[in-house]
Amino acid sequence: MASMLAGLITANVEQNPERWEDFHKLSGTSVTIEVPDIEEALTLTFAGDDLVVRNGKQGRPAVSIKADSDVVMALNLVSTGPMGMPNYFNAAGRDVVKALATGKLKIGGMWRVDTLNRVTRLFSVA
Amino acid sequence: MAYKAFSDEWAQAYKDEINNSAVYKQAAAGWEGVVALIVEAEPEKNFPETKGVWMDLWHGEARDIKIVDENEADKADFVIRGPYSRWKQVAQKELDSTKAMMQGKLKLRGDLPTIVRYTKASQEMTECTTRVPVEYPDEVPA
Repeated sequence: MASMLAGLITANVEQNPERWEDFHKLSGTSVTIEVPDIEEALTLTFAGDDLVVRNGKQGRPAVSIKADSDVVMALNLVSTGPMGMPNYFNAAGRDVVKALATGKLKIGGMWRVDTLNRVTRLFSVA
Repeated sequence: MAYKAFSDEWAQAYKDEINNSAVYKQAAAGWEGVVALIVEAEPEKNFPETKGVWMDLWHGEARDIKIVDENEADKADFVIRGPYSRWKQVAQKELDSTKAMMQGKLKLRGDLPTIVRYTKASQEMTECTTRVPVEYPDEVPA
């Protein structure tokens, strides 16, 4: 999963150069993703032009995401709306809101809205 | 009638099944590109030779699905590779193909954002395989 998510972010940034700004502004930030149904967890640490991906939950992440693989995939489909905000009003966005409301998606550090929005944009393929 | 797994006849039946799927047609409406599944040999499972399933998919339609050799399959825009027994698990819905890719049980080569964008289409393609009656080589009585 580490190589898949790293590949996804790399391709996303290459195809959408404006997302480099998000990438750079996350420098020094860690994000953990835990996917219980496939028993995988990883930590993404942004460091300048680099992204370090490690297996398992490491250190103190600014944002932590815990969800089964289908919800993680759904997160990738959240599009970016006006003012660069994630669009939670279309079908893909509503799926994510529903997952949050039902506890299928747990996000730690949700109050770090800016960081969360940047991470969402880096993952978005929509 | 059951088709021999990963045979030309199976490929034709699979193509028909995809083209009969309204769900696939909608989910893959914007898809352009060839996807190849490489099914690696497992002689101990009576599957002695690696085969490729070449799928020419275009805007919700399967234009062609055929069995090719590994080298030919490797030329596709998107290549998903795994051993025979993994693909059998996927076809029998014992293993979700997306999870398998996330776990590295199936290896993907190609533009990841595009693949992720079409997860629903990929899931429906798996559904289509389950609707094609198959005779697996490791289940054929000696």
